[in-house]
Amino acid sequence: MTGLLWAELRRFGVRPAIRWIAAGMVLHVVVAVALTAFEADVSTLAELLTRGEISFYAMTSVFLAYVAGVLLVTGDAASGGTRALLTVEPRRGRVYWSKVAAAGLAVLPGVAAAYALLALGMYGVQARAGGLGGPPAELALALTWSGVRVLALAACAAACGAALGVLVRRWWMAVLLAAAWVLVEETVLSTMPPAPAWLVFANADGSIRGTGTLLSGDAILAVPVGHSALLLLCGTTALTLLGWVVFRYRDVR
Amino acid sequence: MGHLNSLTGQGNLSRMPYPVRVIPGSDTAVETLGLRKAYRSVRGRVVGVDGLDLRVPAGGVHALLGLPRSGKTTALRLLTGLAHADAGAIKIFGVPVPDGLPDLAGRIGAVVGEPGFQARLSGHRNLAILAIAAGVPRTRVDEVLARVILTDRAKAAYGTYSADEQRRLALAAALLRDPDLLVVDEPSGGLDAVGTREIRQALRRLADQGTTVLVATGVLTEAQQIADTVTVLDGGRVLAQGTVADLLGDAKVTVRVRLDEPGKAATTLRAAGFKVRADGELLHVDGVAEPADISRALAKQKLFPGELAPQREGLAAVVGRLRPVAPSVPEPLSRAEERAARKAAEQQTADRKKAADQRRADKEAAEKRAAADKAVAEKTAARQAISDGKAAAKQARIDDRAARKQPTTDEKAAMKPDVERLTAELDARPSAGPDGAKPGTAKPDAKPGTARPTASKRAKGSR
Repeated sequence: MTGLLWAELRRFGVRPAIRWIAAGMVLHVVVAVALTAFEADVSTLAELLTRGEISFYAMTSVFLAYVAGVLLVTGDAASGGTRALLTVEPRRGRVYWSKVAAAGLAVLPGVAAAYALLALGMYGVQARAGGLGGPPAELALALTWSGVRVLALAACAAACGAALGVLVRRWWMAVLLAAAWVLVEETVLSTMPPAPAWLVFANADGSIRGTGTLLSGDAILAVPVGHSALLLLCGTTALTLLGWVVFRYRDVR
Repeated sequence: MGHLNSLTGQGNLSRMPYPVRVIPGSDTAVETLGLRKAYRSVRGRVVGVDGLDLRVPAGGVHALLGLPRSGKTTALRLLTGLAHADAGAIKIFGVPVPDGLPDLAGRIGAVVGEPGFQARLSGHRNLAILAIAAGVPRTRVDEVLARVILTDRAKAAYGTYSADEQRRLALAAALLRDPDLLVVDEPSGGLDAVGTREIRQALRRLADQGTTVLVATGVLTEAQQIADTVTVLDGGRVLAQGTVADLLGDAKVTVRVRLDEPGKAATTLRAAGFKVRADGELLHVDGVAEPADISRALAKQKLFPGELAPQREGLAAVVGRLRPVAPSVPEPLSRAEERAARKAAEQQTADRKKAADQRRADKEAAEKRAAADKAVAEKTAARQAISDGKAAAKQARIDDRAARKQPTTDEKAAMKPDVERLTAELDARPSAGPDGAKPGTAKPDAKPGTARPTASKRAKGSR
């Protein structure tokens, strides 16, 4: 199992698409920090954390982690690799879970780097402008814990991406599904009063912010962080289990 | 039941999610029984293999030989667990597949489809990744690279490999765990002549070293060159199994025939017992032991080919030769087709009836016309007869009348010299007429011939 995981990680690392995704994460963060630095609206770092702007920028990295997870299991090279692995290791369960785990682990360095750049950049920009809005130690701790939650969320997103990639087999379909879900949730489902507590992106946003409340439209909803984390974990588990069942019985192309 | 399962090793089979049949224990490397696999496609279900009963003896090279879409690759995918069978049973080294595949890990190596190597990594690195996944030491990578004669190119990026180098690297990957059974799909597919020869030599060497090699190929010469035993597949079923010498080794040839009347020639040759395939103006006669027989059969019908070229028997010819000649069973028709056929039959009956009516009417018209013609002819004949009778009667009357008049004329004719004499005498006697001319002398203005008009008129009137 460790060998399989290591092999998958190596294969993941050398794929050009993954490198492009990592570059995209970093570029996005740099642009976000630059925009904050030259923004006329003067908000403190504490306000940015509370309003969820930091989590908004981090969510882009999480989405890119999901795409990376999809790309790990789709495409010709991935199909060929799966075939080759199954000829040396016929236990499909091991192959599948190694892929899911590899997806979750492989995105961590990129997301961590991107979040570190984001947090340090924001902190630096605000500190230089004298707008931290709170004790530096508390802000640093809040940013650190937020970063940990971003990493956990990115790992879950990548695992979900790998599972959905196994289910639909085409990377563009999996990416479009996620994009469509974001649109539907933001435009339709979030307007229904009891729904946000159970929506994926609302809970993801809340879990990154870690404030215990989340802003949805005009209303401030109280959503416990534990609830968000548990909900996302359950969703991830359900999706990956579904992917395993399908991978177990489906023919490999 | 449990006792039976323990005897036949079917404990795992009973858990299979599809109906299986039991294969008794055997010493063959691979054995399948009633294996069936169908794929869903946009055009409906496509049968990959259909009741495949395969036996691959342990040791040597065994070839699965068949035309495209005959089920070779599907069979290999089922054997390696990449696809699941709809029905049937598989045993590899006596272990039921796919449930027993974990027990066979390391005993089977396979090259089925593209191996998915990373183009940027070297061949060595690609193999090293697989070696880690397979749990074999990295030193093994160098061994297998040497075994497929790829050590020199081991450090080069996989993307720079030629087709046969890529194929050999895939073969090396399959050999990583030193398998007892090596499964290779289309070993020489896309390779040039040199690469083809090298890969075939490599497979033959592996078989000679004790590995059972199972190759799926659509190249007849490949099977003839490297295989010891062969299974010929057609339409997902086994056409024949046996040694290469028995199945592919005879000297029968296909003869290409070109001539002006291919249709007539094909009919002639088929009537003479040849297997003929038409290809435009060309005819291909399969399984010919003596090409001169074709010339003789054609010459009897005064057909003389412009070209008659014996060729080596191709795979299509082998399959055609081995394919059983089944009586053609009409396929069940769909409802629309049944309706159309019924309509066509009704139309045909109506046409036949119409044609019969038309024939009857024509016949009656012809009879009527003949009767009318006959009546007219009879009438004409009667008229003619009457007319002839009348003419005959008239003639008879004329003859009768002439007969009655004949004595008088004779008398008159007899009297004629006397009359002439008397007339001459009268003319000789001098006498004065009222105009002073001598009697019997014609007037100067009198026309010639008018001297005896009376006599001539008399003669005429007497006739």
